[in-house]
Amino acid sequence: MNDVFLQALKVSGYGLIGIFAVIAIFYFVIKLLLKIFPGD
Amino acid sequence: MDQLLLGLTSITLKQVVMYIIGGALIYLAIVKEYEPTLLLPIGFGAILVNIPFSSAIDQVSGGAVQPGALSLLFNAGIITELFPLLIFLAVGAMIDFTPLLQNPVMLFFGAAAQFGIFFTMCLATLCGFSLKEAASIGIIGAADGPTSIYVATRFAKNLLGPISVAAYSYMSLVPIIQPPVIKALTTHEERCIKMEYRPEGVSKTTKVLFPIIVTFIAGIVAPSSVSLIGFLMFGNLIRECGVLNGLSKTAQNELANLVTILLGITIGSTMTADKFLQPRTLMILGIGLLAFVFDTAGGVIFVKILNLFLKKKINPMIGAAGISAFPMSARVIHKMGQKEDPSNFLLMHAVGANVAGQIGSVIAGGLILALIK
Repeated sequence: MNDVFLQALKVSGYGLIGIFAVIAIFYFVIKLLLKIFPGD
Repeated sequence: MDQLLLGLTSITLKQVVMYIIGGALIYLAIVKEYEPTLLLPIGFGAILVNIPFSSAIDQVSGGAVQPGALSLLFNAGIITELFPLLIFLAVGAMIDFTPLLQNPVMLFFGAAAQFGIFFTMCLATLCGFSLKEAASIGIIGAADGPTSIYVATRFAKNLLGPISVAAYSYMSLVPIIQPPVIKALTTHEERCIKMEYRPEGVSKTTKVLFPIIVTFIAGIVAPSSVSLIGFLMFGNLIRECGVLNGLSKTAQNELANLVTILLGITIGSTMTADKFLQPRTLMILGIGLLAFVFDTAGGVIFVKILNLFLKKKINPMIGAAGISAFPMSARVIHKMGQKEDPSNFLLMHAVGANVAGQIGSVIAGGLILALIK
């Protein structure tokens, strides 16, 4: 395996975990906003 | 006379090929209406810069550099990342996040459909590209032109031309690329799954706070993404605040149109024959297509896995709408659903996932910028 590929795998792993983590935070923020400021 | 014929006699075969490519892009823009706002200026720019001794780009004459207008625009708008960011501002002003706020679970589909970016990045490294070049190629799969340009400007300026052409061409080909991938991964029964749509009111306070909070969180996690997500969300804040309707309309129309004209023709100026006509360009076009395919597959497979645990099943096609090509992907999914069962209305769910894809692609771009130094 070449080094660049292994680096790409590592970035992909962190990237996928990171994107789901950020999106999960957004999800809970929206839920909270909807609870605090219910629809007009 | 010789002087007048110098241009004609200096045309090389490679330049002729570039005229054909430029002409093909203009044809696709006008006749097929594939992303005409960008493919037409890119195509024309490609012709412009391949005319021998073109004054549109920098020329060295007698040891001195004669500045060209397109080179100036490139340095001022692309190298500085200004044009893609202004496009983001305009896009933010155009997006209505309401369908996403009504059904926030769609956010996760916007994340899953970015799988292709990372898969393609790994694949590109196996094809001999450096990590930064591979990351720029992978971003094509985000189906998000400005993010592709933004990342390529940072990581692979030499590949900006082919990456932009691939990103915008494939974005326009979503109706052709996505359906066969979705059909290959789903059964007729799955494509017929109906989803209940209960529109809930979203308060103005939520709509105003959402772009501010998203910018703050994304900025804390990946500071490199602040300008990307910040301009997108600033545009959205202008739209939702309710007191800047004039600015919102300007951002959506005049600003978007002006920057699009300059962005397209400036990207075209990177397509000089010596830079564009390389085996690497063909590889980028091929790998970029795979990125779109795997993004679509990632979204569909994610929903199928979720369905194993859910009582109320989600139509797996909705996962494919998690790419950033808005609103084309949502329309494609809705049409496919109607084809399978005319009484199935998936549009609002697909729009929610599609809007989530806009956020997902920008976050993915920001994370890649943060993770690769």
